[in-house]
Amino acid sequence: MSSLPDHFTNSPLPWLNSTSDCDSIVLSCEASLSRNLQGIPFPNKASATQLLKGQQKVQNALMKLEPPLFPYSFALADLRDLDRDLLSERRLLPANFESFSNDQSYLYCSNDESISCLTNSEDHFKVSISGKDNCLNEISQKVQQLDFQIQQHIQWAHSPKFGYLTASPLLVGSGFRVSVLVNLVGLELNGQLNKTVTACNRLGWNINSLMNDNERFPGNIYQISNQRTLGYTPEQTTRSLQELLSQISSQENNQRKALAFRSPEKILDYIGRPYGRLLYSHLAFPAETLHELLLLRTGVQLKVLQNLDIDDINQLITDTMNAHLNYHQLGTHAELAIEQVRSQKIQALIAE
Amino acid sequence: MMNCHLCNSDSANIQIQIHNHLLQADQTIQLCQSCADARGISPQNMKREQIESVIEEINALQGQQVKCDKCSTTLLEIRKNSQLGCADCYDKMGNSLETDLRRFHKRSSHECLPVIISEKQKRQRQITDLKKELQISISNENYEKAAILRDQIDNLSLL
Repeated sequence: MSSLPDHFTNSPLPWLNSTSDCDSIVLSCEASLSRNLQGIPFPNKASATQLLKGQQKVQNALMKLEPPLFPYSFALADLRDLDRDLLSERRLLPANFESFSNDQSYLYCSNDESISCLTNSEDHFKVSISGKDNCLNEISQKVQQLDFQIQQHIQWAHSPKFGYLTASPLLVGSGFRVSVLVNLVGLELNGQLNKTVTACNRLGWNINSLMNDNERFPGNIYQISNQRTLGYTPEQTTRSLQELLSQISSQENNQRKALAFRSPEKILDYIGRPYGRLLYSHLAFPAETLHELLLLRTGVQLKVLQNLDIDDINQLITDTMNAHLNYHQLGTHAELAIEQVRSQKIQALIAE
Repeated sequence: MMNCHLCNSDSANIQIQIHNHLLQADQTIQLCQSCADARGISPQNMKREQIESVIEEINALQGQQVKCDKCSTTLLEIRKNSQLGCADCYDKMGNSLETDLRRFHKRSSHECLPVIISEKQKRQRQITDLKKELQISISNENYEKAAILRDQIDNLSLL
């Protein structure tokens, strides 16, 4: 029944760090490069034969990498919807992959899921490297080195004026996108978040929700990523994000300290409410549960909830994500609604 | 007389100058009397919304005309879907897209920035440049230079 290796369905979500430090603001970061093959139209205009040719070229180049990086490869067309949703929850597939994927879309992945390549999606090739906590410089260098290695075997579409050519004009130039996931609970609780978001947007940074839904921000977790790629090198972009991040981190830390000093009851109430709801609910719905569990996670980091372990919470968040839970519950507990199963799993951990 | 931006007749007698906040530049629109009347625009009575809809119409007309030879993507499609069809679209429509690129990135070119390219790619670029030079030499009947260029291309191809 299972078409994904156990590692992908059981291990905690790769974008959740295990730091239980109260200063921990950055959860994880990711750097990616988008590239297209020379001489072949971009995937949205390429014929089936051209897509196949492009896929073979990229696959050959990836197989020549030393040491081999990608033990796992998945043809997206062969995967079930549930498998694709699960990979999307692990942030290995973009949320909008359905609008771009075709019969020749493949996902290549390293053992620890930190390096992944997506072929024939929006562009012919996209390589991403992610890391926990703040490791922006490291992953930015790594992704460029990997691109350089691949370029020994393949020629990307490039023009002296526009740099690397991508299907979307929003990525042309460096094709480089870098993002960080940050927990801004302090700014949110003190009502300072809108100022930060407006300032970031003005400086050329996008702020999105974890699930690419810009109406809800589960667990006060925000994704900051660069808008501008044309005329900026990956080094410049990474350096700017590092500077922005240090400013946001210091603001967030100040707000957290101010909260703990002036109104600790505000934090206790903010974390206590979801704790109570999760403890006494009988039906747990996915979006709401993710938000509340992420708040419990913040509670552990802020030392409000002393009896819970951050790794246990991370595992619980993973197990109760919609696709992950459905994956494990297929065929079992048929008499119970999936919301009941989710609720039971949560209570089993919290009630301990 | 000026050409009308909508029907292309040479009887445009209304000129409107509007500041485009998105492009951060002044834009001039020329209309003939009949096109202006059809849209309810007169020098005494015009609203910003009317002018903006005329700009959209002009952009649509321009987009239908500019087309990539290789993948047939039009400028209008690119503006609508935010997706180009192939690398040649940038050559063909790069200049028309410059204002849009400047709006997204605050810059309109990637020139003067170091790009990591492999030795193989460097050689490929040299060969492409030399081939262009060779064609020029042959068309100018400068066969001595053409022979030297041909040998250079052969040497680079062997590497």
